[in-house]
Amino acid sequence: MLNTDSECVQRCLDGHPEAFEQLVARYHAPLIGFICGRLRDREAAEEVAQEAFVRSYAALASLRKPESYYAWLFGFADRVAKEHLSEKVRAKHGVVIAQKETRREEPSHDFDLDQAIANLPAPYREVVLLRYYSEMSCVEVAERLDVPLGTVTKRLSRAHEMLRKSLRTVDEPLEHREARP
Amino acid sequence: MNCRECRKLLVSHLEGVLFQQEEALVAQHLDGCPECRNELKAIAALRDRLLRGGQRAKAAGFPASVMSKIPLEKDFRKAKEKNMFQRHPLRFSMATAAVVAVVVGLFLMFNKRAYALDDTLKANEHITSLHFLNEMPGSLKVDANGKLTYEMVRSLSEGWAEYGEKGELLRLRIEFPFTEDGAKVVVWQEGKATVWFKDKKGLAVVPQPSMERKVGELRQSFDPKLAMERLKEAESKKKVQITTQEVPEWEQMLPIVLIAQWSEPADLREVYLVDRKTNLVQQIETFTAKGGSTAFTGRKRFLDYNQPIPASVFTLNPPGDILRVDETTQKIGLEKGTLSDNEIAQKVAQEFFEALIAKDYTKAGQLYSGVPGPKMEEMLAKTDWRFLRIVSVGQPVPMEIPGVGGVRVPCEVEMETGEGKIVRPFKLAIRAVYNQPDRWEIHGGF
Repeated sequence: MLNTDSECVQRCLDGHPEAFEQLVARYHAPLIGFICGRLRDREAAEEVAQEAFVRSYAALASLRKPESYYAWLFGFADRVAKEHLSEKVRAKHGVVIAQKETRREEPSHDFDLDQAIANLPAPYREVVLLRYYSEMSCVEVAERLDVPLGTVTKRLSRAHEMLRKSLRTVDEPLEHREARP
Repeated sequence: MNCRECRKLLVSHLEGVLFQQEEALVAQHLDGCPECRNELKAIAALRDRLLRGGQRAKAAGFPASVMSKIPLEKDFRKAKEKNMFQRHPLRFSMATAAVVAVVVGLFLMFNKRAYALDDTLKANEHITSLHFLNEMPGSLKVDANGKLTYEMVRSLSEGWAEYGEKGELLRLRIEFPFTEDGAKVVVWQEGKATVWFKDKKGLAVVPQPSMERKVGELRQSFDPKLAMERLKEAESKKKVQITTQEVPEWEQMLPIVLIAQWSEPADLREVYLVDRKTNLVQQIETFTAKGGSTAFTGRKRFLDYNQPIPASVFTLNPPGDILRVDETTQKIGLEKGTLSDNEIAQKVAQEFFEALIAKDYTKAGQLYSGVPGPKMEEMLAKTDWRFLRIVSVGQPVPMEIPGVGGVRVPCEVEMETGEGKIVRPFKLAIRAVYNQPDRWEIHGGF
């Protein structure tokens, strides 16, 4: 049976760590998508996502609004992604990672899309990831975020507009972009 | 409905969340407006792209992988208590808050269940089996292509041990890839030890009393119970200072790190990794400080605790043509008695050549690592040697190869060969029989 985020968090705190798996199953795809948009590296994104989940679990008792686990988790992911990008952390762990000359971009992965989503303002990003990456319906997203359905559809509409705009910039060849006034 | 109103509803239309009335108006407008139909196509294309993105972002096995890394045993109760306190709606005066903070601090300090060595000593009581590795620093090597490579560690030994209910050692197998005798495997069980000299192609069954002492020595090198007891004792005698390295909250899945700085022996530093869940030691690394720098000197790794070990591990299967010597039924070498090392070595050399001159191959074999008489005779038949007379048995010199032990005894023997009578020099290598310091034998140089 699927529990709400709050229920899952509460069960973990009550000594049932297996409840955490529901949260991971629910949010790993949006999280990986979000981090892919930041790092443009699928493998690294999975590592960062894993680390974000583990850290969020360790800090679960300090989560003040269990119903906002999702937004809170993204805060961890944001920090871990930043750490990942910083050489300082690599040195701290004693791992010397050779500088990649070019970023690894698997053709099968739509990094431009992930990046466009990652760059959306948080309220818009949230609905897009929940709807399309967590496979929730608009009604479920509204329930999850505790907002009216109309708010979700308005945000989704606006998010579509913003995404199309930023993706158009990415997808269009350079000369077209320059020709634009 | 105009185009602007219609376009606002297109995403909702695709998501199927419009009210019936709105849906009808949108459909009606789309029918007559090619621009809005194009807009709908564009939105639908992005929506498909988003759904595909969501599918791609899913990682099979990811939730399970995360679950394997979270500290399942984490006890949130203490953290919750602390947080409840922080969030308490009552407002304290600054002075009250300070007092409460001190009291809570002391409470948490004394109530905190920190790791202690005793936790590992207790966990060690329940060890039923163990797989371990002993490693030492590697060295520079030249590979087949003439390229210099550096091996980080070199395996000293790998072993498996099984314990009884009272923690007594029941069965043991240790493989030594590099010894002065070449590769060697020792299996000890039911009070009987079998040693397979892989490179020397020999198998020896070693009698009990001497082996017990040897197993005791071996245990010192691999047994985590003894290692932790030794550490505990040294700590109580203030011969070692142990510090536990703190790790951040989110790294609770990492092992506990104990750093043991010894004062006796000075300059010895050990780093212990202790499993946070089981309190069992995973690894012990040793370092020595030499002139300001620290050198890695060795590592013990404990791979599997309490896993069933197949019986085949404790059975040796050497090839059939191997030389087998059962020291439990056959006496090897000569008894040392009250003689000095040099005296017994000379006596062994003397009696060995006397036996060869008398063609007593059984006696010669007994002195020569317990090789059976017929085998000894067969070996000599391949040569054209006939032993005639001992010319001299010289003063023994210490064995020149480190780690081998025993002495070399220079001898001269007159013998008949294909080229006629000659006096031939030998440098017999003689030492105590494996695990029997009271008996001496020849182990080479002939």
